[in-house]
Amino acid sequence: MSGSRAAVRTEGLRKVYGSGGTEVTALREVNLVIESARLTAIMGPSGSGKSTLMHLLAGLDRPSSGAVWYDDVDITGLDDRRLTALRRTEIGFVFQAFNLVPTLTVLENVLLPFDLGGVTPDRARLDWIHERIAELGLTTMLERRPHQLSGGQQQRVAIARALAIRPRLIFADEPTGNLDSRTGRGVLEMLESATRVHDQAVVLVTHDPVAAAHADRVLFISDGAIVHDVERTDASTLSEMVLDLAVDR
Amino acid sequence: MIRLTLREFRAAPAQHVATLIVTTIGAVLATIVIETDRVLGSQSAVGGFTQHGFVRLLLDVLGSVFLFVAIFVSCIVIANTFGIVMAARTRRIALLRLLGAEGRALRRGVTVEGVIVGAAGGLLGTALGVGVASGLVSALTAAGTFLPAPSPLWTPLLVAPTLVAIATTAGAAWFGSRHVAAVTPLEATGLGQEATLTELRRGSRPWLGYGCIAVGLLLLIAGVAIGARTPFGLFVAAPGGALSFLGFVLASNTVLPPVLRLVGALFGGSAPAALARANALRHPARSARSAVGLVIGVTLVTMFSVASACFNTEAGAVAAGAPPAQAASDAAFVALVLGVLGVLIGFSLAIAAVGLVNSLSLSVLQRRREIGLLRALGLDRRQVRVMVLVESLQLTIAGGVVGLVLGIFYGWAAALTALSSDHHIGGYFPPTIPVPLVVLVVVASAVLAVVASLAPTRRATAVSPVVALAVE
Repeated sequence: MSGSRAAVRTEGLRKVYGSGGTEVTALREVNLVIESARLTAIMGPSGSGKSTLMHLLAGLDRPSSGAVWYDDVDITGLDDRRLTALRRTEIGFVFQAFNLVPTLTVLENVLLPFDLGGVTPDRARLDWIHERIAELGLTTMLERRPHQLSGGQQQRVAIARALAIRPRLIFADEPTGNLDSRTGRGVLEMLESATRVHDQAVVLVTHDPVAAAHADRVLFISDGAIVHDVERTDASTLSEMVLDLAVDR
Repeated sequence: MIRLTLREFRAAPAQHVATLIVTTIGAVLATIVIETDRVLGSQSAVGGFTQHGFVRLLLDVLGSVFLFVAIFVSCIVIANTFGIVMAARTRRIALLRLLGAEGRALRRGVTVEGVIVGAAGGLLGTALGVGVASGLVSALTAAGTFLPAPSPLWTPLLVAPTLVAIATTAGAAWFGSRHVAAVTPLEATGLGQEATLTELRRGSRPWLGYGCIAVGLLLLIAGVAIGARTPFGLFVAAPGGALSFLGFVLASNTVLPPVLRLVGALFGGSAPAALARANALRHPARSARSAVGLVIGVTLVTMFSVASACFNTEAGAVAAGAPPAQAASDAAFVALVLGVLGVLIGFSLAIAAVGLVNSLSLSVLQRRREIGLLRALGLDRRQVRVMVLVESLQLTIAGGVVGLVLGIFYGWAAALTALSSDHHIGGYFPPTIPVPLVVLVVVASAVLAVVASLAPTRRATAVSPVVALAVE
């Protein structure tokens, strides 16, 4: 595989919510390497711990124990300020809904991570961003506000924003959850091409086998542990694996 | 339906704290006005203060005027508060609608909530007001200023503050919940992003306001012109000024947002400032309503100080020839009246401040999702604090500046009308602007902005970026 370089690595990652009698273990001892230039899907039923894993990988939440390595930095030890800076420069996000700041235009939303960091992108970077915007078919919408866009267009703006900072990793959390199947396929193909064209690592969190069939690698999580780790396969195989998991439970 | 209303109180009593504070402050003011009149009456009766009949009349008039202003400001703040509380409750209201509740019945329930809060605030305020008044009377009696006089604490008139509090709160709650009936059952299924508040834009009728401003200004100018001959021009100018100011308040939805935009430009182009600026203008009507209470307070303070400063400048030259004792007594009297005014206006400013705090915290509460998104994308806690503070500063500075400008204008007009016919002064003069006042207003607005942003900031920085990912 070309992309054997690690984008992020975890070591004995555990997350426990609550304490005493109401203690719930969301994640137990997860050891994992996410590689760059690949689309990795994380699948699992509701409550399996897939969202928790993503939160921890992205520095949105802190683990109960264990480490999350970005190169030789364990981000679980960073303070809020450095963690925020890490998200701003190294991580892109595409959420299921409410991706965009309603008061900002499309272009302002795309450039928001730069503004938040007080950085002005140079000419070359701006040109690069505008090329991505054009590829995503957003060039004519730069001055619109989010409420003037369709759901699919909003997701494309979120992808443009995620690509703009050329992050180490893009997290896409159920990015097609609110879209019809055709629009959803378009969004997934764009994420897929980001991994090929820009060597981008993309983590796709989903419970939809059709979405996960776009991934190079699929991880299954159940009861807070990784139970399968498979290379690219088709939706019906993935579907069966999901069903098996549901029955086992 | 009543059971549901009572449940709201048990489930989230905090949502009515702002309304309770506002009604309490109003009732304290009303009680003090009533008690002052009664105490001065009993002092006159025992023969101590007969020569102060004029003072009593003046205090009664001023007290009533400012009571009216305070009630007016409370109505705006309470209606605004209820509007925001309802917006926060949209999902629940939609669920009740889905299950078959009638819009009007829900609105009646909200009005009952208003009645209950109003009654509580009225009683609390009356008790506090009587306490303050009797404390002051015993202090002044001990100091020898007042003669010992029988002063029963209770007079039937003291029912009035509670009744007025109930009436205004119920009315404001009814008005503030006017969009409840418009909530569709569909919103209970809620995939809508943020549609819940857009309806608050509706229902602004600036034309009535513009009309009042035009007619009022014409009267005011006519009054000033008449004032060149006789001070009785005040009888034309004063209603004109009041009418134009009322017009301004009615049209504030359209007049204040441009000022907010201008003030917002002062804070530069950093991302937190830009976000705050955009947010203050997201709901122009709501922002205008949060700032208008402040505008009213600052305008009144400024008007009286500019008028008296003009009086001092212009009449000071004339009074140079007058006996010093007379001049000193005049100055003392002016100082006394200004002191009383300061206290009275302080009440309406306090009410306006509560409205501001409330509106900022609820704005943060409604934007939890957006703040979570911004945190995920790389807004750090310090920047969140800056964002809320800038939004707060924008509202208070805009309110303060507009109040200053209007106050200087009205104060000058009043001084011109009252004084320009005096043959010693003879004709028109420029306004005297008391610099300490301007400094005070600016500093006070800044302090208010910081204080008002404390609680909302705490809420905003506590928002975890994970909130952005939660699918409701």
